[in-house]
Amino acid sequence: MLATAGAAAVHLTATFFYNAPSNVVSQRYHAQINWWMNPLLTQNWQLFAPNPLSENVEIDARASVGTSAALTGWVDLSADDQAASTHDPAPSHLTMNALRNAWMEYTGTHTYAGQPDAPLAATSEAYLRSLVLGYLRPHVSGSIDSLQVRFVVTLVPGDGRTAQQLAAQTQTLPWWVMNS
Amino acid sequence: MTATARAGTAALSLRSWAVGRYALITETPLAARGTAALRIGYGTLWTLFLLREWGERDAAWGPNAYWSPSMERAFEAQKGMPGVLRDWLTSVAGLGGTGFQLFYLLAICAGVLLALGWRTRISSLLFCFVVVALENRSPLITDGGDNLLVLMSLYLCFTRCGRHWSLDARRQVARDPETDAESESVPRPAWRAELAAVREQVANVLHNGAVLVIAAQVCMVYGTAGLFKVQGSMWQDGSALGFILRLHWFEPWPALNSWLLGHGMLLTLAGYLTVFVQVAFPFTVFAPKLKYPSLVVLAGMHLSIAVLLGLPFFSLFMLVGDAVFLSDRVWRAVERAVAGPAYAEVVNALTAQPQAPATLGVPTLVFDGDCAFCTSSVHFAQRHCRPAVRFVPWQELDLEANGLTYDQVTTAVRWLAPDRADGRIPAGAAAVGRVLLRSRWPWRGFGAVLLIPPFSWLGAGAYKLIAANRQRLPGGTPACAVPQRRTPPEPRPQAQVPARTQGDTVGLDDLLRHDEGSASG
Repeated sequence: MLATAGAAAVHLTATFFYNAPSNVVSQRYHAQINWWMNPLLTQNWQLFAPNPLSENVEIDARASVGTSAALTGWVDLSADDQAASTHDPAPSHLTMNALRNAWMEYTGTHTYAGQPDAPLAATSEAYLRSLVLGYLRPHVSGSIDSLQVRFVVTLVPGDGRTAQQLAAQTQTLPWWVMNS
Repeated sequence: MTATARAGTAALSLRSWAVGRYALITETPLAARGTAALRIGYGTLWTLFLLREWGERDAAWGPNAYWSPSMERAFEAQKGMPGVLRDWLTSVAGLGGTGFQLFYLLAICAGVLLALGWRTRISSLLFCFVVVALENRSPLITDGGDNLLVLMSLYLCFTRCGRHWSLDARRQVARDPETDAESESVPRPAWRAELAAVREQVANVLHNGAVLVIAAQVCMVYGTAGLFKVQGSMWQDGSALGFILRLHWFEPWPALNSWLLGHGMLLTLAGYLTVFVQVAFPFTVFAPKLKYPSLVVLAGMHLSIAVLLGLPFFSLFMLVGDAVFLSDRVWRAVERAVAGPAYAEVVNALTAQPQAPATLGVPTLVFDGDCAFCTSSVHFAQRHCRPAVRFVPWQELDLEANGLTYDQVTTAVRWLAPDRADGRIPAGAAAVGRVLLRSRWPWRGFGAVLLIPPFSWLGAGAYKLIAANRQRLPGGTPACAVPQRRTPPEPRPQAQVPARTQGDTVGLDDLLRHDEGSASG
């Protein structure tokens, strides 16, 4: 009984400080809290918070195809996901989360210029590349030699957002050469 | 009374309170039905989720998934953890083509077994194993619902979630008389009984600890979601929902979104309501008057997310977690509504006090025992609708004592309510409707419909039509024809009572014979 009460108390205390904004306690016991919570009990409940996502992301890609290195036009890959989820009462996890999280992970581990600046940079780049390749294939005939990705980010219109802010921001990544 | 004596009394009452609490926690699995609801909910949702992703399973989690096994290993290598845990989290990444397909089928089976409550201790461990393994295979396609599911699958392992509505519970009920008989003939050694008692205590304590953790976890989900929203300017000025509804990635029904965006006032109020209920949730659960309204608001929020943002599994995983806050009283009411009034209990009550039907607390339907069509209809009702109603053939009833006439009982079934204050005796379709109203679902619904005009008028007409032709209907015999004679027949000997002892009504029929004997004697 004491063991159960103790375990529950420890777990709930750790969970509380893990979820709470950074404070004196969570800073001092950072290592212990993370040891207890990660990776099995990892959690994040900042759902649509503090502010919800308020920008629309379009993920485009183009490829150079075949021996002639013919260049395709930009293909809107996120439009594929939107088409797949439209009028589907239960869209799949890939459709809803894959490309968007790959974009977040990539931008979180790279500078705006595309330089890696976090330990998982290579992994997140490889993931984005494999996703983009998978999405692009049906749009392209011929073998893809190299490809390029760009993110077009547009703020959702709303109160206090000027026309200047609402203009689309385009981030174009370097070309990736396919090694297969 | 001196101060010391008063302090002594206070200490004593504190002690008795502590003893009572200790007994409660060691002897009773609290929220046993709530955890059973979580078990069924998560098992079912997991199964549905995997079936939904069946076509995408290779791209999402297979050996050739976008998030490849080597990416997965690199991802997990970033985190420090014991080797066993690492093996568990990366177990699916190590599977080949066939192995993965088998694992996927196993994962579906685990969901089904947990929902059914087959050997719950084992199936909850299996469920936890597959959920944690698969959800960690591709961390970048998961959402908050998957996150909660992982936690709940871990917590459920410690609960006694198979005590209700499970195959385990059914087997327990079936086995109980047997073990009783066994224990009479072969007394169990004392140490085994002691061991069983200790096991029971440990299981209860673990269960109650897990229930506390589950409840606190759900509170933390809403508390965190609410308190972080409070800090956001968009939630403060009420514009957040307007922004969310304009995200193209979460827009399965664009027309619905643009319609809602035309109602800015409504969206602002809904946003504030969401924030207030989420922030207050850890406190409102302690106030029954606020708890249920809060849960209703949250359910509405989840259903909106499910439909408007195209995230049904996220929403439902969250919604199922709320079920732990519904009290056992609520769950018992659900149990009654689903299972129908316990027929056995009614029969037992009758055996305990054999009296004239109408004076019992159970309503009675008087039907024609000579008519095979009527009798088989009654059998059908008893078997399928299971109403808390007694069925008595008029031939076995003292008509006069119950205020009935021969004409009344031979033309239509009659309904004898336990207290007939207004002296009305509903007949025909009205009586049938009342039987259905006391039946289990969905029959109960039909009963309600049958009693409301204009359906009641249609029902009355249909009843007259059937009654007039009952000798031609399946099971009907010439004896079913509504008689033309106007004089009651002689009381008949008991042997001529139709054989109604087939099927599952033996207890009641035997009893009714007994009634008749005492009435005529």
